[in-house]
Amino acid sequence: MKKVLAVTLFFLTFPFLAKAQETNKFGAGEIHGNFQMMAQNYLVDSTIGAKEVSEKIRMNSFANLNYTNGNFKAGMRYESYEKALLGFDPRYNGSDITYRYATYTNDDLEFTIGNFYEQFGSGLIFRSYEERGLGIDNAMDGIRVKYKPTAGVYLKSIIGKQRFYFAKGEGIVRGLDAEFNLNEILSGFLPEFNSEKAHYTYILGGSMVGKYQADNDPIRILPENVAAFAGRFNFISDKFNFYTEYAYKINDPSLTNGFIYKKGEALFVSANYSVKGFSLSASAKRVDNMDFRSDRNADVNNLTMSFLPAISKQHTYALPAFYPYATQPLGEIGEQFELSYNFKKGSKLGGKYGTLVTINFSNANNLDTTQTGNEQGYTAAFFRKGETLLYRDLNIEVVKKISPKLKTTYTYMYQVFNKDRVQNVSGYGTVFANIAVFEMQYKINSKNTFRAELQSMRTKQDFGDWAVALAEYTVSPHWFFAALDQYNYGNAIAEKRAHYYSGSFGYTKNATRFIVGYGKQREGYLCVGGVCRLIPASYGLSLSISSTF
Amino acid sequence: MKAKKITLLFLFICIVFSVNAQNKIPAVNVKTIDGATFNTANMVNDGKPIIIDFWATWCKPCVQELSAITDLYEDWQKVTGVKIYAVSIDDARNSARVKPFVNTRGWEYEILLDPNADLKRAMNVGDIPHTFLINGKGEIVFQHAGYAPGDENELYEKLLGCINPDVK
Amino acid sequence: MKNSSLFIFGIFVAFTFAACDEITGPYTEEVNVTEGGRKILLEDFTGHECGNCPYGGLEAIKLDSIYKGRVIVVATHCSFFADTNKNGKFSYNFKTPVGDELDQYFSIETAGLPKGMVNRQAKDGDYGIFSNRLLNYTEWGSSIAMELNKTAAVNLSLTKNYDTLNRNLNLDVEIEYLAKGNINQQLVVYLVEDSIINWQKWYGHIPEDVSNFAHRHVLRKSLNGTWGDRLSGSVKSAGQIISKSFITSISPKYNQKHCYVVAFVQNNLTKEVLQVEEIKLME
Repeated sequence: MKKVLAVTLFFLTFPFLAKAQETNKFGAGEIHGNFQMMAQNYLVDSTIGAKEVSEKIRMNSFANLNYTNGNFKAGMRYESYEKALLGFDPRYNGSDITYRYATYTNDDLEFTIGNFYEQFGSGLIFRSYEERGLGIDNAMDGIRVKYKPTAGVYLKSIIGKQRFYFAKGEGIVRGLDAEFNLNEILSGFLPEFNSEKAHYTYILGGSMVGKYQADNDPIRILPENVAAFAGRFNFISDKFNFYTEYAYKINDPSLTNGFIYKKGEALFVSANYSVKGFSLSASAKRVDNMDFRSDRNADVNNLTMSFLPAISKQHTYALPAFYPYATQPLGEIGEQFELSYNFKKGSKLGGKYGTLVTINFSNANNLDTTQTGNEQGYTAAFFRKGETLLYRDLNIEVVKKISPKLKTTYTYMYQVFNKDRVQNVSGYGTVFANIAVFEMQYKINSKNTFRAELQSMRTKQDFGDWAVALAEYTVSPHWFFAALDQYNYGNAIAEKRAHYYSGSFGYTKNATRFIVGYGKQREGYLCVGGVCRLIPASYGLSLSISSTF
Repeated sequence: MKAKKITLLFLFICIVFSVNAQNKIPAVNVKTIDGATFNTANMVNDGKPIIIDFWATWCKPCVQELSAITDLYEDWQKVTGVKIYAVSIDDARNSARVKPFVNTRGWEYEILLDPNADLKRAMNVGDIPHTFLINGKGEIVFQHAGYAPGDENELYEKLLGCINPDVK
Repeated sequence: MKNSSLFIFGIFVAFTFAACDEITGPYTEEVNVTEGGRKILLEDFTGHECGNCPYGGLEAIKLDSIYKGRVIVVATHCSFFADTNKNGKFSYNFKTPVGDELDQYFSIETAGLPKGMVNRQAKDGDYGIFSNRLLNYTEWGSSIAMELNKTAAVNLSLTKNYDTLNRNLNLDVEIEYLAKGNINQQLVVYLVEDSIINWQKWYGHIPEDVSNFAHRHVLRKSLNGTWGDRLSGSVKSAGQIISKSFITSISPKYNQKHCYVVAFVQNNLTKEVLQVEEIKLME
């Protein structure tokens, strides 16, 4: 209760303080925010496996408020799960202020107290972030200092605990990150290093993260302080970009790695070359025992510190995204290549309006490991892949504008998905799928547009064949109407050959959106970045409202 | 529970009282596509308007919107002098893809990287795409969530409106 | 300004890396099992198609042997992981109505398996989040160590009279209060069968489907319902003794040599277990 009072006072006082300061250089403060609400009513449907929900209607909502006054910023978020939507962890239950902070910036120094999100490098050893749609929020609660001692040097340090639903995790997280932009540092002395003149940039960075968690285990001797280190290098020129980051973690026995005392490491390398109309890129990643969390007993997506997204392409059409890959933090080797070419307008293949072709390939295998039979768990060859294929995907996308009104997209994909290993289940084996997608968009006039998608997935495994049809009609700038049917016509079990149909419409005015939907949602994984969440099958009416003010 | 409701009520009162004509871009550090740290307080365009568009490589409507505007950008710039900042919220999975993605499509926007959504959060953006129009004084005068083909026309009207208030 | 900032920064750096624990062995320590009247109920929620569950089972066996006589294990098969296939592997039914009711009440299926409860206690006494009570197997040891330090509020003694031919059991339970007891306390009596050989999925084994897995400490039934009987409708004073008697027959499907009875007293509001005791049918 005291907390609530404090926050109230805080927000009550600031507008007045702001008024009082109107004469000084800060001027009056501003409050902005956003609001989002998603509600769903649940009906029963035995064919698709939509179960009875005793509350009938469930709702997730939240509102952010941010106050700014010159160098001072403060804000909060109020979250409410009056029973969390199906698929969200039921530990999101009830309503509370889950995020509040105050930040003060003075020249090259910035202090934040309260909650904050932060990422060191690409996040191999530390990323605290939110994906509200996935129910992921490992915000820090503590103190952060950012400091720029001189041009080109950026220091960050953090200390605190991570969010765990409506509480905090047990472990104390401490971290430090330094980034050196060599061009900015050197251009002070040597003008030729000015990146505008030099046309290239070198950036070096390093970070260290430690966590403390008491060892109360009566049997095992556990490390109470576990540290991880990472170094990164980035070279950027007009056409070429090279990035690499390596991370190392000392012994960190945990629930997810089965209490082994092996060190962890991760290597990420990415390079690309691009000019107008053409690009080529490649990346590779090796992850070995790198699941790093602020609580050694945490599971699922809770209290993660390391962020290890998959390097495969993130698909957005329904069927290519049907079997989404997620990095196996305990061990994988993967690589990815992409070639993209824009056939110019007027050329043979480009036609009158140009044609964009993108070819992408990605692959991930397990590590080549040898069990040691002791507390180290296993040893792994550094460069050799293991025999088990986890994921492979070859896809080609062609975007072709046929006339100013008609635009078409053709996608073909071949996918291999080791369902047992990626989703940690058994008895499903590996899925081999051929997927084709056709999309067309026809602009009737400057306001009205019709868009359609036809998708097909052929596979002998798991649920069998699927077909998807989508039709969408938009009236700019306010309305959209959409109808979708996903048909599992190839399911081996005849009764499960269900249609998952749904319809929706929405209204948008400036930064406010209302969307109403009705229909059936199939069970499946929803993924953003490298993290996935299983959404159970559901059937019913949904309403979502979002607004930024 | 009651106390919480009262808190919320108070908060809304606060908002009402502190809503202010000026509506500035918050100062947040993001990265340019050349790896340099960029403070959004430095988003300036010599007294001409600015458009900030939040997007990601995996977001279809975002790419649609930026592709639609790219054909018009040259004309828009001639008439209004506008500068577009396209802020990618791609995380570590895709942030290396941004530069090749932009180059292949020949986009001429100022590209910024916001991989941990710091600017997105500071500007209270929910789902993307989300577009802000900032006038020559640095005030946010219009914003729009989502994209439907043709929305760029509305944006252009607002853009003309903010350089020449009579056209509103 | 700059100097003070650097100073603050320096402190941060020092704090971050002052400590770093590299363990090079030994990896385990001797456990000092203290004497005491309190015994601990460890419930292992498991399922035969749950490939990670044997890790929980192994941890339970380990803790059982370390805290010999002070930890009493009951393995409850529940959630979809314990569903039966019509034929072939995993066709044996380990499920019980008691297990289903516990699953419902404690959201075990939602939490995922393997999970366990130590005296049905929640971390920090906070029952708001189910995972405070449903512990991953890596937390069972520390939780047991903490529970063992508490003093017993109740003494339980069991006496049995078992007829191996007709398989009839007469059980007397005597509850002696060592401290004041509230009105919500209930006595629960479960029947457990040890070492049932049947199929189990185990990711740590090759092949993953193990045909002759020894299922330990399997909950078979309750003698008096999932939550037991109320001890009395009034406040109990220290020194008070309450006696209860049970008569039941043991199904011929169970191996009577492997059966034992587990009795415990719990607070029916919080479900916390105050004391537990076991007795074998044939010994």
